[in-house]
Amino acid sequence: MKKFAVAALAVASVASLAACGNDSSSEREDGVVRIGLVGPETGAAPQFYTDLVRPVELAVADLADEYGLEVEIVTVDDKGTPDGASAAVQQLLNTEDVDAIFGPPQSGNALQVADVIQRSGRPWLSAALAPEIMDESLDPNWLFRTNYNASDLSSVVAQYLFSGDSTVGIVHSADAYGQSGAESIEAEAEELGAEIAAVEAIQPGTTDFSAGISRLAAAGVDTVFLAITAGADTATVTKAIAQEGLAADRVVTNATILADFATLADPEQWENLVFIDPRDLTGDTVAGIAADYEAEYGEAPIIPTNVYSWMAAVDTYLQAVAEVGDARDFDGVREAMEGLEQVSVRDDVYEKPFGAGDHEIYEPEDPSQWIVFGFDGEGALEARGDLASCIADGC
Amino acid sequence: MDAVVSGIVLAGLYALVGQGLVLTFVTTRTLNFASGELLAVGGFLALGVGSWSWLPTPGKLAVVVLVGGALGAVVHRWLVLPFARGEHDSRWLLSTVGISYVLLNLFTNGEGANPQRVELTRNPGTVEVLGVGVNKQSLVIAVIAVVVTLALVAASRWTSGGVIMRAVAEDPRTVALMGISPRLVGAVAYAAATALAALAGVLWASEVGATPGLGVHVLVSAFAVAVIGGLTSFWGPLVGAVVFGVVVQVSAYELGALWGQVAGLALVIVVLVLRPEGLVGRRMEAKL
Repeated sequence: MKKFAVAALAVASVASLAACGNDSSSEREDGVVRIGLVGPETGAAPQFYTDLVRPVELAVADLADEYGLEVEIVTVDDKGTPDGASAAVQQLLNTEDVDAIFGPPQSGNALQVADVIQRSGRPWLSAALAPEIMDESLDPNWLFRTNYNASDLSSVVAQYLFSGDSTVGIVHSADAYGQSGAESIEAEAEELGAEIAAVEAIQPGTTDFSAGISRLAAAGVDTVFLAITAGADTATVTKAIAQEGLAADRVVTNATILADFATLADPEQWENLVFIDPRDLTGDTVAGIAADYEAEYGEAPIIPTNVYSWMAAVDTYLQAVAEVGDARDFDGVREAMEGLEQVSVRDDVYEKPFGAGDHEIYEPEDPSQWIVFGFDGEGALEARGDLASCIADGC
Repeated sequence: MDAVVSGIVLAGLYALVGQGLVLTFVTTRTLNFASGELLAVGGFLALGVGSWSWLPTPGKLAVVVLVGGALGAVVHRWLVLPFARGEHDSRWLLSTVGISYVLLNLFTNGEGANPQRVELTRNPGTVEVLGVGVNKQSLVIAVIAVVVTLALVAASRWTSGGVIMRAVAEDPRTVALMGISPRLVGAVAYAAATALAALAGVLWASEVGATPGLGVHVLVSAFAVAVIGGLTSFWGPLVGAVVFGVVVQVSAYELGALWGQVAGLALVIVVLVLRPEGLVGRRMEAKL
């Protein structure tokens, strides 16, 4: 009898340990789909949290009924740090027992939690740009990216930066995102056999960057690439460009500029400023999303590109859950996402976006698939043309 | 030349906040570690009063400065006095750090952490000084810092209030025996210091937008300039700020932008080792 009790205890222990590991389903059966959102509610870049939570709320409100699902959103603050991201993801997995994780939006923090989420065996949707997050050799791979990746962006940005007889300088944030962006462009330059004349870093929150711009001017820079996390820091840099009289033909940045930049900067600061994105940010779909966002939250989207990416993530995930019929069947949901016929963001439709070995929603490598955006005299976004035309004829 | 001019102009913001630190130190031997968040209060107050179209700009600025001053008196009464009861009581350090976190969280929860544009005292664009392009707003702040410094130096030397302030700094017990309340002097000093922080907050938020973290970076540099110049002299923050600003900018121009701040903070350590009382301060015992 004693032997039987010990054996039973051992079996129970093994079973409970197994439940802690990678299990493709578990016991919660309330029928509610629990989506865990992790982002920097506090810290240096809270706009990434705001424009994670709000678009997910809007998209769930739009799509839950359509797919016949009851959805609950759980949010956790990662404080904008890798340590905070680890703690937040543990909370989502172990305490909140969510069915899928959306975020963290910042690349460094996403990299920090990549192993943990992959081991948890739950669908993971990300809009972070770092190419290192996506390891397509994993089987199964739980990560689905609904944004472009930084590697593709760097490739096309480099083609634009080094077109013509330009002398290129880089300013990057002294953080993981900025350093990664600068290194990507440096690698692309090496591949193209081009040289970068100067590289300067800016600490987030710096009060004055005139010295950094003066060094770019001394190096003869006429084309500047900005890999900066916050629009407020971009405003500090462009202010210094105006102040130091740096004659830059082009100042190329990325979509993070949409966070706060136009609010803080003056017209002379955005004159030659452009960024490149594969989506039509001046089209009807983005305008419709912005109108609904503003009606709901009383202000315009802070980072429209992230809003778009997270809405694509919600459609991807909820479609798959609806198809499988059970959010707790994690394997089934992952396979359903791989097999989706299309993913939509309002009227924009992406056909067969994913596959068994392809978890990136889009990987545009052809410059004609990217659009160059700038600002008009009022600070409103305007499309300047596709990148191929801009490289060939200027724009 | 570029680096020297831009360093001097940059110094104004730090000097203005640094004066607040000196004001409280000379009168109460305490420092307000919530000065950065009280600076942010100025930025958010500017957002609030900015919509009062019936009040002209000087009036709005006065409201911000007065409310800031009142807050300073409150901080002194409830967060400093009860925790500075003797020479060895330095609990005020924890209470002021504590209120800084409370304010930071209140602002983040109430206003969000994203910058909000402030128009109240905005001076966009650049202007040439000695052939060097400098930011207009920074120049305005630098001029105000010089005026405030001269006013404080003059007041401390030639007015009865200044004499009382210096007497309290020397020997508060004897001053109390003469019927003057060191507590009241401390409250006035905290009010004035916080009013200066609020003024700096309006001016700086007009340049970079109002955020809960508006004062975090500024406070670090303000402490640095107060230490370099000396916490016991009203000339200290201005002298310290000019030296700090020039070292930061020259290093940034010569070595790279990231090295500027490093060089400035390294200078603080050098000054603490070689001349702990600061460049223009005088040596005295403190209960820190």
